[in-house]
Amino acid sequence: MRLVETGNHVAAWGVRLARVEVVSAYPITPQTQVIEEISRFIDEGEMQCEYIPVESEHSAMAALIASAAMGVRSFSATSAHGLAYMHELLHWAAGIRLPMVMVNVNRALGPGWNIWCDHQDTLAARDTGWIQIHCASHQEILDTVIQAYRISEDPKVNLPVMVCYDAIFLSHNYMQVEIPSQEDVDRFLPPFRSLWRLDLHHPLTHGSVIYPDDYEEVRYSMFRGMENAREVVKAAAREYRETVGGYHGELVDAYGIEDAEHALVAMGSMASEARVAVEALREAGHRFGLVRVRSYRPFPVEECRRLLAGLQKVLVLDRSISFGMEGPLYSEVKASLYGHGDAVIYDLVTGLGGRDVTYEFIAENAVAALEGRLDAGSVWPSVRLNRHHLVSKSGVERLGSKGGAR
Amino acid sequence: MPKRKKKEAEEIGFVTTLSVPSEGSAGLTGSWRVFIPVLDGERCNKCLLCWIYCPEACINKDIRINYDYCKGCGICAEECPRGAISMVKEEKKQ
Amino acid sequence: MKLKDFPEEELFLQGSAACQGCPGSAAIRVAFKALGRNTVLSVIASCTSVFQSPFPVSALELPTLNMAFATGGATASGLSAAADRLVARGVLEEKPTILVWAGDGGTYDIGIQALSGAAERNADFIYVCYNNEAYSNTGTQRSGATPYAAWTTNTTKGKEEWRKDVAQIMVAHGIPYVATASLAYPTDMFRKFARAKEIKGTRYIEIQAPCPPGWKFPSSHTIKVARLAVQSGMWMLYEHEDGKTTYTAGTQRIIQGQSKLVPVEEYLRAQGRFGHLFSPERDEKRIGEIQRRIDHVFETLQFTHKMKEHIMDIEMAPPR
Repeated sequence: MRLVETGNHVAAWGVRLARVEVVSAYPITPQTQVIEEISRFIDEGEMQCEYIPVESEHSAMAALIASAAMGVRSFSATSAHGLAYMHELLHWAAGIRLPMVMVNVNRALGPGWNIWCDHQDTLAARDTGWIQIHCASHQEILDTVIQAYRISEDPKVNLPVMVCYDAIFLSHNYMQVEIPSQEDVDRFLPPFRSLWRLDLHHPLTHGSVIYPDDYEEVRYSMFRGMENAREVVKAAAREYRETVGGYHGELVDAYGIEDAEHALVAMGSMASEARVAVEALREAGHRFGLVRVRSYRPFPVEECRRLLAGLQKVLVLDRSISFGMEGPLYSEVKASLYGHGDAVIYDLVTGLGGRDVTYEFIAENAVAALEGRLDAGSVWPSVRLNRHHLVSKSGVERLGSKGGAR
Repeated sequence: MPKRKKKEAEEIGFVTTLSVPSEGSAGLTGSWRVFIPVLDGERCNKCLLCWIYCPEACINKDIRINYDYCKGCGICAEECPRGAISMVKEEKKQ
Repeated sequence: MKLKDFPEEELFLQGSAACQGCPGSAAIRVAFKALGRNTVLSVIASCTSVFQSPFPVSALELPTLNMAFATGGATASGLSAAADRLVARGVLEEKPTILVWAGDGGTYDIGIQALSGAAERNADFIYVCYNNEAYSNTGTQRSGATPYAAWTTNTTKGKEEWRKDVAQIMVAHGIPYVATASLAYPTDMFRKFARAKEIKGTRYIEIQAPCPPGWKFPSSHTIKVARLAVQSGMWMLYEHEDGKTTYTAGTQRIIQGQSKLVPVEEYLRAQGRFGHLFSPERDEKRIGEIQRRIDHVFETLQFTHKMKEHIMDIEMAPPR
């Protein structure tokens, strides 16, 4: 079946096809359509599912953990402030070693209410123990939600999966998607399984006090689970292509990299723009390729080495910033390539809060890098002071001249 | 990726914070005791108040006290309506 | 039900890490006896997180999910929704009782949002607040449940504010069942748990939990202090169902005039946390304030009770 739909509604289709039985979520723009569509599916009898309309994201994640602990396939969806609000329980969800899946629509964080695309929210949740897969198209959102359950429920993994996609660009724009048949999805995704659950006949206690002598091994086990996820993510992508159809790469999705001398590295919808930039650059005689990081956790360390180590210049595009350091994706690409090859690596921090990043802009900066006109380290080439900033500044100056804020 | 020091770490596999129900989960808590409850069976009429009030479930319905785990809080002696339980300073075995 | 008819089976296993004279473990024993094995438990960050004993063994013989501080109502909602699905699919024959066990910190303060949300959704579970009137697990700091004038480590001269009343807040939510209980009245407590088990929807039971180290009294006095709390009117026993509040046990006897209120001074004197009200000199003002509040509540209740009896007398009287 072919549909033209928003990315959010497509995500809901993934949840429906995965036969999710409990959904707990709190509405936040730009994620609301996901849960609205799921509610409609349930109301119309198309999903056998309990929907818990919790009163906050913190509660959404608590209910999700609890329902997974009872041995039921569970789902939630959030964005930005919602993800930040449930941060404590992101750790709990990963530490409890139960499969679950959540969609996060990548959105900017306040202050200054901004509902547009930005990767700060998910990248700030990087070290919680969640697998993070970033999508670049509507079809990929659908296919990834289904694959996410397969990955999360793999006995070698047992970690939660966050399926991330960009606010507005992917969440709200309409694109054509192919909806697979339920039979095909069922062949790919067996019924829910987990390594433990709350069982009335075999009562166990989860999560009481644990001493220093015992704790490290628990974290090491999570580390191993995340390492194992590398192969499991790849296998899920391949098997999905065979059983259901649809393929969007594995830990990375590479484009034009085979004969490339230089590369762009990006995530999410900005990678689609970078792909157009690659074509423009090649037309101008610059042999660029693209590495789209699909799995941010586990990070594609080997893939980066294999694809980027032999190149001359690598330009990373970051849609977030680690204050006091640099763009987080830039840090990770550099760390992966440490001791491998001698590519010069640049970073554009751009597109924050949904600012449009055009392929011309990316290509211009790529050429600047080739010509030695781009500084090393994170640069902010799209930053400029506009009239609104000046109005705001004048307000502060007037307050200052009257002795305010002292 | 951090290097692993020991090969045995490879074999740790799935470890999570699951605990198994067990008596004596905090050890032989009877060792916490300073005063020991002593029951005068003659006076006891098995009203069961000590049984239900014991915070540690150390007294059974036949009013037998499990000294392995009794922490010596003294609630049973305090609450016994017939004064059938007395708290006696315990001579610790060395 | 009489004590001799209480189930003998212990689902709280002896040899736990609880303090001597712990009111939490004493309450959990009665609750578990009334609810039985077909129960899924979630323990919210509290002393109970600790006294169930550390990894890898546990004093709790029920499937138990320890959860973060602010999650009680939400965790219960997730457990209950998943259990509904398992029943619908025939995996479970009968829906288990979902039990949340939280302290007053997890209930009155950090967890009230999740509890209120779950109650408004009428999620199907029993929420227990064992109220030791302070953050005892972190070393006795004030909570929203700490009574006026009580010492805690961050109200060293006595708390200046009056406690809030979450049981009444739960009554205002219109949930099917709210009850308060006391360790000194185990048959009353057992009956309330048994009643709660029969009802579907959100049920709230709050148990006063006198804490020997936190309240500063000898470990043998846990039950005695709990009893004095009821006898003095500092803790009231009631249940609320179908829009109607019924006072029970010791509280009922005082309202109906079968026993007299014990002066609150006796209750306060039994605990070191109120010691500054009596030495170096007697704080007549604050003791009086506490007594007057209690007197006001009970005078109103006793008056209402008498009025009702009077009206009943008129109704029962033969027509003239």
